[in-house]
Amino acid sequence: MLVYVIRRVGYMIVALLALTLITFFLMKQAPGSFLTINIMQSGLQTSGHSSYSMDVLQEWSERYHIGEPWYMEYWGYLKGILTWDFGTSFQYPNTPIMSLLVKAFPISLGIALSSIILGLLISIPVGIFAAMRRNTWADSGAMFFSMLGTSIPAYILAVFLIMVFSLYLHWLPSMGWRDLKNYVIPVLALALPMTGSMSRYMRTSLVENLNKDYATTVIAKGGSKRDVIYRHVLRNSLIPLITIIGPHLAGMLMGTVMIEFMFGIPGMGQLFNNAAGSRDYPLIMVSTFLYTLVIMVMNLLVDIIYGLLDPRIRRSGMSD
Amino acid sequence: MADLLTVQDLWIEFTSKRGTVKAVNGVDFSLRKGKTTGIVGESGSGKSVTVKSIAGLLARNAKVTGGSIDFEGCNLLSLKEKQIQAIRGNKISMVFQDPNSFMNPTISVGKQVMEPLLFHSVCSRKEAKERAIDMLAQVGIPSPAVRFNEYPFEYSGGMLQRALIAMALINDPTLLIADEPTTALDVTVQAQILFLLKKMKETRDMSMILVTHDLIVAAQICDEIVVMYGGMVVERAETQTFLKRRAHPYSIGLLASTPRVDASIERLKPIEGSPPDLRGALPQGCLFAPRCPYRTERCTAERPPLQQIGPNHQVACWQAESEVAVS
Repeated sequence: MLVYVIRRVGYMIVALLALTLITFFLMKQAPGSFLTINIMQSGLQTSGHSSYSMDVLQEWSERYHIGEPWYMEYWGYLKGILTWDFGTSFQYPNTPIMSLLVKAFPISLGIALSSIILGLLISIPVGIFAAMRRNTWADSGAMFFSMLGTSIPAYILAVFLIMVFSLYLHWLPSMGWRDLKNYVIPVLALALPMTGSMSRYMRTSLVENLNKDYATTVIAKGGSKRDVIYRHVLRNSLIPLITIIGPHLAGMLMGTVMIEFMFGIPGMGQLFNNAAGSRDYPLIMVSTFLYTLVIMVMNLLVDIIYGLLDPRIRRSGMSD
Repeated sequence: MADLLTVQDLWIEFTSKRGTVKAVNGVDFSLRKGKTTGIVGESGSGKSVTVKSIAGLLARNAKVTGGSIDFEGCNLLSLKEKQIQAIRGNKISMVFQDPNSFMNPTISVGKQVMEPLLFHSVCSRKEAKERAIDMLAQVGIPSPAVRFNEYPFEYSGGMLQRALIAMALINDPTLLIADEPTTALDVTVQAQILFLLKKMKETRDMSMILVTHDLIVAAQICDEIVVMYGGMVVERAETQTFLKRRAHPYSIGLLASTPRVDASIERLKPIEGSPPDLRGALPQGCLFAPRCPYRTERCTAERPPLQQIGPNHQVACWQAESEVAVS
């Protein structure tokens, strides 16, 4: 198990290095630079960036080896990431990138995680409900709604939710970011489409396991239907579900970018969007790195949980 | 001796998209206390469906359309789900065909073996574990305390079938139903498992039904043999009587088509034709008639009832008496 985790972490480091390199080239290839977009067009003074003192410019020039070959410049960024000293961004020269991240990152991760958790909390019971009544009208009904959920994209659902809860019912704010109420619609908009596919997946997986011989054994031993589901089948059905949570999470982090934009939430999505738009190189590098790191760590966690649930992998697959 | 189980005129149907399949058509047999009955027949003869209905384990699309199953004085078919649940794994236990698929792959063998005790609230979890380890030892699993924590994939097929037997016996059932318990195993292991079943039956106050397609297996450990064909009992006799004086042409054919080690090399005689199609209405006459070498006109016109032709010997064949006279 430990060997497996160490090896996986090794792969992650290689992948992250490759990713920073690719990001660096794409970023440099994008037309324009921070200077041409923000300063040259409107001028330093008029854009309000009066704080670009010579000291700051000097520091950037040294840090990112401006005017030197590309690999020196790349090294400048990489060194910042490796030493966990991210420096300051072009847009906000007086605030360390770290403090921008500390503000924005928990918001995005919070939205993504609560959406996943809400999605699981809805889809697992719906899946059980449908599987226990398989091939009845209750099953078909539940599966119809889940299909509806899958086919509606998050941003359309968001608009619909705003109409219902903000415009007509006046229960929830339509945008902004002040208190917990602001969380509700974005999280619902991200979670509900996900429950569509996940509850379907859950149902199929449960039915497949319920039809297996070992489920008959449980009944033959004197177990009830509940014993079959909760002691035996559910656990085995969760194993495949967990494998799709990883990719879902990646999709979720991407989904938050759009939702944050719609609702004006000051999360990573907005930070990244602004950084990319204004060619704020240091912020692009760091936030891309962070996004990837989170997705990889989550995938690793998912795989570890997968192993914990399935003894066949725990005892053989992970050690070889 | 008193009968522990009496199956009377049992009818079972399966509904599928392609119509109704009449799987069991008026089966009668009984099992005496402390005895072993072997139910023998080809696949599709309804033997497995019959025993599954005793344990209330029929598939969702199966329906009992008539008859009764009396066990210790009550009709199992009239019981509610809760009541039959109290009997399953307690008084009536089952051993299945393929131990690999009938064990949950992600739960340790020991935990699965002790479950019947927990389902029927027999004892505490701690005591259940001790009893499970003891039971594993009884069925011949070496170092049972260690193997208790191992998973099905870490067991061999034979060992896993032993564990499945331990699971079935842990609540001291009065009736053990073994549904083709050796079919999925290697030949050498088959004999060990049969011997184990026989020993287990003898050392406790238990009766057993052994379902098999192999007459030789049945003859080795059963007191009585019930031969099924097309969802009906065609012959029923005590094992010794059956071996000496089997009278139904199907029983005779079944034994002649079984390879034997002790006999000199002769050609096996397969039974010509194929099992009857049980979809739709049944033919009027004997179901075996199309494959029967002794067929007469009466056989295709009228179905023979199960008749007594000797002490503890019943046959459903119009020709039975004349055949016995010949052999």
